[in-house]
Amino acid sequence: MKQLAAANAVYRLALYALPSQFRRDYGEELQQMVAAELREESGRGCMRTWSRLVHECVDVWITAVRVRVEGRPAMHARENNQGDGMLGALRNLRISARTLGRQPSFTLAAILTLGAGVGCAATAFGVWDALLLQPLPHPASERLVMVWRDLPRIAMARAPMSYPTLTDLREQTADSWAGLEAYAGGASALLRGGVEPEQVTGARVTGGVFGLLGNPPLVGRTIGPDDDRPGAEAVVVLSHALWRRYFGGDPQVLGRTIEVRERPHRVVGVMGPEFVFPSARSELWVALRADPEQQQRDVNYLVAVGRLRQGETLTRAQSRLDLAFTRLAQAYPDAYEDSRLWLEPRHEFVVGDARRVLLLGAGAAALLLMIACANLGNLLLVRGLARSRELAVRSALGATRARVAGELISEAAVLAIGGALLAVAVVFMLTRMIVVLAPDALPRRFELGVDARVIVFAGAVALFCALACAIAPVLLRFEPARSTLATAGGSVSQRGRTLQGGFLIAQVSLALVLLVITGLLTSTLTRLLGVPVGFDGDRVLTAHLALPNSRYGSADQIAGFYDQLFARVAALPGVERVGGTWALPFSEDYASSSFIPAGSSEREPFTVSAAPIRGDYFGAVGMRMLRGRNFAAGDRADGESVGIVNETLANRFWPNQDPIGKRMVDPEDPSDVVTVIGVVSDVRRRDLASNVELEVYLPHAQAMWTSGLYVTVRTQGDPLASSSALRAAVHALDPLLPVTRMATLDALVTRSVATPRFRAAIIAAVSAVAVLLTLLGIYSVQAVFVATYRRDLAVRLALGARPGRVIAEVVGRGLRLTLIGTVIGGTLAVIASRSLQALLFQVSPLDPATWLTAITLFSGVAALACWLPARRVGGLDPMLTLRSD
Amino acid sequence: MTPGKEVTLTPLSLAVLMALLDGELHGYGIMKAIQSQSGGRIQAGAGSLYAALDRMVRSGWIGERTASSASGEVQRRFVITRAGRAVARAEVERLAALVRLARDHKLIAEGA
Repeated sequence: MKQLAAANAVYRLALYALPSQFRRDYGEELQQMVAAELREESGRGCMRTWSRLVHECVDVWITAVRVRVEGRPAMHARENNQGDGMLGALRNLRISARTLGRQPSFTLAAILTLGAGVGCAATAFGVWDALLLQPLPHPASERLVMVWRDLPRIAMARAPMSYPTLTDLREQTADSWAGLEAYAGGASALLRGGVEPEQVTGARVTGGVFGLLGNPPLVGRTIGPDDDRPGAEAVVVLSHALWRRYFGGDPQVLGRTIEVRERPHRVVGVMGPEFVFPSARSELWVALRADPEQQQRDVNYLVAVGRLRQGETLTRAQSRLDLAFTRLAQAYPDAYEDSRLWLEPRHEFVVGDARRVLLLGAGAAALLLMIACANLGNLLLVRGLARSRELAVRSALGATRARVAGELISEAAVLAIGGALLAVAVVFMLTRMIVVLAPDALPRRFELGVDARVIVFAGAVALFCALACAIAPVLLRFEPARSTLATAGGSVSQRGRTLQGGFLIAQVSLALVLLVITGLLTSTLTRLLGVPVGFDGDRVLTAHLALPNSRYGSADQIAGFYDQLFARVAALPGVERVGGTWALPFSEDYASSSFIPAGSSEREPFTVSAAPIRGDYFGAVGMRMLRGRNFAAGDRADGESVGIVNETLANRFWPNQDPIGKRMVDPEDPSDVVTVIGVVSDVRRRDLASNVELEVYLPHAQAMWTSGLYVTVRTQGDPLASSSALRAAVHALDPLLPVTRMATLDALVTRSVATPRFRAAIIAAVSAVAVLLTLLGIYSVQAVFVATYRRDLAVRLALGARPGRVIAEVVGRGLRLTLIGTVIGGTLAVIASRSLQALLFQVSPLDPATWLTAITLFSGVAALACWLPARRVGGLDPMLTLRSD
Repeated sequence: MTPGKEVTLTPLSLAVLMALLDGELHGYGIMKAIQSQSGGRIQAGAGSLYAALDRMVRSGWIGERTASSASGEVQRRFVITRAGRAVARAEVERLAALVRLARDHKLIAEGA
């Protein structure tokens, strides 16, 4: 339905090409008629609708030109020459292609311009369409809804819920749902078939999730309602990618066993390649079986997803939910204090913040398309002016104006076809690049592909732009009675030059907007990367180990393993220091606790990030001990709880005091006391843009929450050179232990700015093309000016004007236009950059350095483009020039 | 333009006249009739169709009147005039003569 409305709107716009009288007479009926046609075609598919629309738009333009040049009264006498509608135009196409072939530089410039502009626009459309408009890959996915707990106190809007909450909601809001189910992460599997053990992530799902989503399996069956009952057989469903990668796509895979969560699971099914749930990283699914400790009301780990019953609205479901939750909160005040539940369509959740990046990309692409159109209009105008003499001769010999106009239009159509072909190539290239380069923050990017809709879009836009650009000079040419032989060789009509100047100003101003945005986003990226992280990560290799509970059941076993491993790694050549931490900065692992300084009257506890560490962690990542001592072998599990705090925490909790020996407590659990034994330098923990957090480091021996640990190794040379040695050291101790997330610490920091980097890269690429097109525009305007006025200029030179002065005047004319464009562009850029504020970091939208650079750089190259053609004036030989006419 | 004078019609104009032989139609009706009568061979765009209708009204071959449809929308309906019939007849006769000629010269089979 939305598509039809869009198509009708496009047609309504296309109607503006008609002469106003004709439009007033018939416009409304044309619209109704095309609306009826499109409605009919839409039943036969989207391609049919759009191709019909393109056909109708082209038809309107051809009609517009014909009605204009023929005049409305008594035109039947000539109608035989024309043929009706497209047929006549098609006949002209071959002639036009031949004409254009004779002017390869003009043709190439026009096609490149069109291809670049339309290609970028179509890519943006394709990405937008695939990510925002296309439904999720589940049947009737618009009724899938997430149920979140909002925890305003810790600013967490999307918190998971507990098992009893889910079952209670299922019962009490049953009227809203066709099904309410949940999933959780933590279904990692260990695959041992390859060269070395591989870790694969998956999701645990309640028995009804697959039924709720509605996707059928490719092979076998999905997880069913019986699979999450206690005592049921442990089964696993594989993703298409995992099946292909690990089992070679073997259809006999059913019945094989793989180890998930350290237990053998039987493979019962394989999903199709379209099935992505809950994220692209999930490669297998097992039934979620809630153990007794996972059935407590305050153990929140389930992400709830529901399918609304047919006819239920989001608002009604929300009010039912509110009612049920109020009842729950009354029954269990401790578990639910200070929170509420809210519903979010799953599509919105999956798309998330990507909307903003997409909006930016689409905006930039639209600007580029406008620049490309202005450039193309300019090129066509220039060419039309250059041919005015030829056309005047032909009119004198009896060619009808309609015929000449038809030829110009059909030339535009040929250019449109060339541009569209190039644009499709550009779309394929750019889409591939986006899939490969886009950060994880761009969800659903693996679903991206070039489909028929994008190609039709590219074709339609190319045709639309080429014809719109061609129409302007055609209408202009026939405005004053006709271009005559008398004027053809000499000056160009005033209107022609005004239009040219207008195109140029538009290009310059739009290009400047893009340049300024590029500058702002690039400065943001530089500022982000310039933020001191507090550690020295370029020679630090990190890898994650997760010791299986079955073989490392006791704290002594875990400690023994890590001690042995650290000793082995420290002995490796090129290794300087070895340590480990449970929560590596810029990794996904993060934990926090509530603390207040002991003895203080603070009521609101502080959220303090907590990180267990082991070995020489501070030394390995390059943090400095500022006061006190590091952990020692004496800080054992049965000893006094000690901690090392960061500078920020020390200053906040005990300003102007010596923090060593001070204690901090958890106000909710007064037995949780930590004695501070040292202060360490600040580091950024989660991303570069946020402030330094309050942090406490705990000895691993006293905080062995899980068996997982990031090993951090400081090396003398390239850290990645030590990666195989690190693997070998692990496998020498335990050949079955997978080594995952191997990276340098710097790479993790860099990955955290992937999204701003991607944004800056997109805009930079688009504005580079925009600036090139604009320079081409300036150059061609100047070149044509010199060519058309060469007689006047030659006369002045002959009369003794100094060439330098004449050149300066010509350059000055181009610069004046550029200046006007710069002023307009500057104004637009002020508006545009304000709306970008949210994407900027430590850069003001009016950052003087950025603006100065953008304007200086741009004016510099623009001046060059003004000067290059003007330079030829100096080489004019007055006598030769005057004789040549 | 008076009927009888030598006029050649475009395929679209002739198709419009033929479509109107059975009585008045609105624009969309004409388009549908043309499509079905020509077996889909004439596919005029909306713009071309209205340009042709406009031209033919000005030539006096068809007349137009506004009427309200069942749904209450005001619609322009077109009707063939006497002059229009004459032009169409002349054109069809010209075509019929061509067909006879083609048949005589065995370009097409008898009865085709």
